[in-house]
Amino acid sequence: MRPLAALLVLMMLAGCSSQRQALFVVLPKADGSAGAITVSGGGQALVLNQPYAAG
Amino acid sequence: MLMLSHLRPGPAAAIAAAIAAFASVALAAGPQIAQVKTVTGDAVIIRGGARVGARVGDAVYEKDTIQTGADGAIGLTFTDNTVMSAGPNSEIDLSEYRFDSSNFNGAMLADMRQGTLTMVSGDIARSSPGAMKVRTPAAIVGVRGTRFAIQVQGSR
Repeated sequence: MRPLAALLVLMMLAGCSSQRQALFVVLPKADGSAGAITVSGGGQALVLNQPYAAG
Repeated sequence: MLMLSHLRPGPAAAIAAAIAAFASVALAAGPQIAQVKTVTGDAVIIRGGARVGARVGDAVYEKDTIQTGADGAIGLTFTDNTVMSAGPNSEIDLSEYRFDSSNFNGAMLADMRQGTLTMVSGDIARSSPGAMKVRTPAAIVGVRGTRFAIQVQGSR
């Protein structure tokens, strides 16, 4: 169920940003914490390290 | 030469499927890197230009491409315990993968052309933060150990 819920969240967020080519979302762990991802492109880097942080 | 047209549809189809499966395995380069855990709807593995319908339990190799249709979804578990789930209309190349279970070192690069993807990173990201990457047409994601989701819009 968790992957399905994650995909649903992703689709909802994507609906808010129809002009985007790509959307990246950090998902929380079971304990509510989150790790981190770094999104790099166009000479910029964005660190996402909070639950449901998106870029 | 085997004349499949002389056989009834059942055996002919079974033989053709067996030949396709054998050819697919023969085209695999290197060790198995993942296994198919779940399949829903239309999901295929493209290996050396050959398309094979994905089934639960199938082996996945470096350089394979995972592709799903409009009603498709697929879940993979890699040898480092990374879990990858792809939703409908997804296309993902498993471009690079190496993992040493003796010291948990390794690297992974997946090229995501389109679709939706969720991942729960495993030992590679845990032991070597940044060694797991997902490349999209617009950006590269470096994974430090987490759960994340990506959606890439595009068309085949």
